[in-house]
Amino acid sequence: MKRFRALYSLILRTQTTRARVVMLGVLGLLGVVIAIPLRSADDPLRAATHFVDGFGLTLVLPITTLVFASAALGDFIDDNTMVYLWMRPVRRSSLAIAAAAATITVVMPLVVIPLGVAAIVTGAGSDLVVGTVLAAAVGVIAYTALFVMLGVRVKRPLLWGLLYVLVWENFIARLGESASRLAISSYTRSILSSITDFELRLADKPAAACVIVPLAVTAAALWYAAHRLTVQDVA
Amino acid sequence: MTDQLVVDHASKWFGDLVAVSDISFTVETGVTALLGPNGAGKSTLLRMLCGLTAPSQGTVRVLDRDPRRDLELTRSIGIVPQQEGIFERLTGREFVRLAAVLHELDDPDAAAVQALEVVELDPSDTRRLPTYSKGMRQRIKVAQAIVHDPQVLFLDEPLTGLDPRQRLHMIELFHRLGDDGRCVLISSHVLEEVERFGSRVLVIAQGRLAAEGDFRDIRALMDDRPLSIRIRTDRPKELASLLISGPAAVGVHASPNGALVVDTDDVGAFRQAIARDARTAGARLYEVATLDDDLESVFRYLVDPSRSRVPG
Repeated sequence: MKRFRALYSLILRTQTTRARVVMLGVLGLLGVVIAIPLRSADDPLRAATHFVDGFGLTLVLPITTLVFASAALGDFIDDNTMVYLWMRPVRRSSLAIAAAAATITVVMPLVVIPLGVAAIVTGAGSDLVVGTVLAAAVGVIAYTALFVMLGVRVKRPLLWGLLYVLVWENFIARLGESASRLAISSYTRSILSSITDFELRLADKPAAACVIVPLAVTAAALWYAAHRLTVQDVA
Repeated sequence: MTDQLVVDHASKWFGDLVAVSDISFTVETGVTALLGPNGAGKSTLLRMLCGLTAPSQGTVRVLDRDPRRDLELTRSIGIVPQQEGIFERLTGREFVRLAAVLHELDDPDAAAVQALEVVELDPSDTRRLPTYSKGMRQRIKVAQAIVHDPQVLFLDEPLTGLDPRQRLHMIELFHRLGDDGRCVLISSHVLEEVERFGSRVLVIAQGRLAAEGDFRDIRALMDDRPLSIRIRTDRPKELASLLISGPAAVGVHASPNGALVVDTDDVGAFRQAIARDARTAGARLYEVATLDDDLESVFRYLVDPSRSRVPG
């Protein structure tokens, strides 16, 4: 446990740079500001749900998580300091889990608080606030694992992560039902949709799937990250 | 004594590039130097020994275990990697303490303080690592490598950036560790450095083991090698005829740019001859430079003595 804490705090300190926090904090704040005029929309629930879906769950949530998660272990690989963690009797799964825990610690407030506040500001009711917070929290966990893994696996995790978010999740996964099953955003949007009782396109995944799939993605991604840390070369 | 390190027909290639080619050797306790020019494959070899990368062919054993697969073996290994990268957000003490914690030492803080003192760094220094000078960074890397008192130490160019006094101190430290029964393998591309590390040397050139054994034998082999020396003078003809008639030069010819190129088998005799002959000829010497005194040519000579001479 002492070792896990040491890894956790090292990763947290390394990934949480001022530039990242300010940049993504501003992105979240922007959401709150944009939410203000939605109060006076003709159909506040419709306007607010579309806003949380289109701006919060498909932009703020994945982008913020991507920036911190891909850096969690990716930074150590980039600057050749991984050797100082690798040459210790520490299980590679501990490294991956510590990276995810540290990322969730910094990203959860950076995403959930501004989106929750934005949902409140729209005045569309408590269901929207609960739906937003729950969907964002589930999303943070699943995206974290996915992007921690990406940080270990590829050379330019930010680029690949952006391509996944913008091209796959926001374009291809919105073309049809089968592709949408392979996008985390489909499940976060489904959570929002089912709690607010407001229908969103291709966001009709059953409640059980909305829990099981993100958890399975989390477990699989962390397992794979640990596996890669075991088998890939360390500089 | 049992072998601490066993490298058996190990090769490593990255795509088309062969970094290490069919190397076999064993290392016992004490200090052993791994000598070779930059790009010879020293770092790749050390990385294989640490398990950071797997050999493409052959086997590498450390304390009779597989460094690539045996996580527990890391308790017995300390490494000073060549790269500069270091945890930028930590202080020196936090960096070494982190290593101690991850190695599950009983009192990580005390161990960190002790390791810092061994490398003559101040444990009360609260500055972060990016503010450290190159020499300090190098020493902090050594501190994190010895904090858990490992049986085997791999040091990749550990003296880079140190001033002469610190070098001396580090060399003493490595010897002490070796004398205490540890296995210390130090890589370097500087001949004079290796001379002070101790008696056993492994010479690596172009990914191959070019020579191994006592440093004195290898040094003697190096001193015996033929050398080409370029001389710029105002009286090339007179000087050339004097030199060729003496015992120090085995050949003299003029290079296209007007300089003399003298081949010699005996550098010591040449040094004496050139001064004497220049005086006799009344020649001014503008330049006396060896053409092939770089390490690369030394190693080329060790690998294949017949092909070592640089064309004038």
